[in-house]
Amino acid sequence: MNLQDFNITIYPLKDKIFRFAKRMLEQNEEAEDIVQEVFIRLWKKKEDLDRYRSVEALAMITTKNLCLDKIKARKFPLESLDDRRQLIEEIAEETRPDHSDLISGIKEAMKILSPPSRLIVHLRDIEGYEYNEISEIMDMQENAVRVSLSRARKQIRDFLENAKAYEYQRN
Amino acid sequence: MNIKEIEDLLKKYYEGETSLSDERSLKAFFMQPDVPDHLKPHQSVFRFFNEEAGVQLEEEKLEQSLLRKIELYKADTAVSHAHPGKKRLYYLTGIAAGIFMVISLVFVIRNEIRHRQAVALQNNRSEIAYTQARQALLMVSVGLNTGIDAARRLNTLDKAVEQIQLVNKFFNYSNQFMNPDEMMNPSIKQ
Repeated sequence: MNLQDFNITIYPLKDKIFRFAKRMLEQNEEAEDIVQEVFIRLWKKKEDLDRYRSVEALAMITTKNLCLDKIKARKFPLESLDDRRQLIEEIAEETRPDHSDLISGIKEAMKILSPPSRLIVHLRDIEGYEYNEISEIMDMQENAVRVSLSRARKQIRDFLENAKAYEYQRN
Repeated sequence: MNIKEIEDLLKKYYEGETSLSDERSLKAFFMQPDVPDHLKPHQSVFRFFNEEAGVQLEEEKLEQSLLRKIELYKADTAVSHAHPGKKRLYYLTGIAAGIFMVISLVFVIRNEIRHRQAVALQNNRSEIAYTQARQALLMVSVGLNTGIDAARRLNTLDKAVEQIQLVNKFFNYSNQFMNPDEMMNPSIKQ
């Protein structure tokens, strides 16, 4: 694979990789770094890329693994100024006018999901992957993916219903 | 698509039984502005997913990230390049400390060995002294015993002398008996 092929097949994945990394890390700057890192990893493997059935799945798996490494390294996080700035940025983002209450409610609902099911919802409902692709990326049985996707969707629905009931009570 | 179909699809959706194209039509339905009230909560879910799918990473950000990496790399290498002498000094002190430890260990061990040898030697010497003293005392005691034997012989000599004195006395008396004049004469001594 030469640079041109790389630009055509892998570079356009940047947004998908970024969204996936952001879903896992919940942090913009780190997710941007992950995209760089994934590109570097794939570029180093450029001779072998043709042997993979799906380069996209490989990219997503690499993203997942790099994010897991990053999360592991966080166990004793150094709170830097950058993190605080990030936090402020994110708060600003959430209070932007085009976000209705319900949409920020779903953001909350996504947070109560377990990390794997959150990723499954992301891959299916946001990125629109097929079940066999998700099972490859998540390294899970296809049936297990279906089960936890269904459970996660219901969890989001119930969370929103409870939030709504709470709103009614308050009013 | 009528409401009934959407409701059915929603049911299937929550059971995880919809296909990607089913989900696409659900998304399309919920993106339109007029959605019945009882489906509004579901609408927000699909709108959220749709919105999230539009999140993009601007090339600018990617470049910034690359620059951050380069800065990080520069900072990393700057530390090791800034003080090459310092780094060498660290190595040298490490090596020196190692050598010092080995030498001091050798000294300590040698001292210990010497000390042990000296103690062993001293123990040996005192043993020799003890046996020598024993031998000397033994010799003295043997000599003493022979001395006592000799002294016993002296005793018999004493007895013999007594006997001889008795004989002497007898001779004196016999002389007096033979020469009464001499007996009268006080000038004659025994």
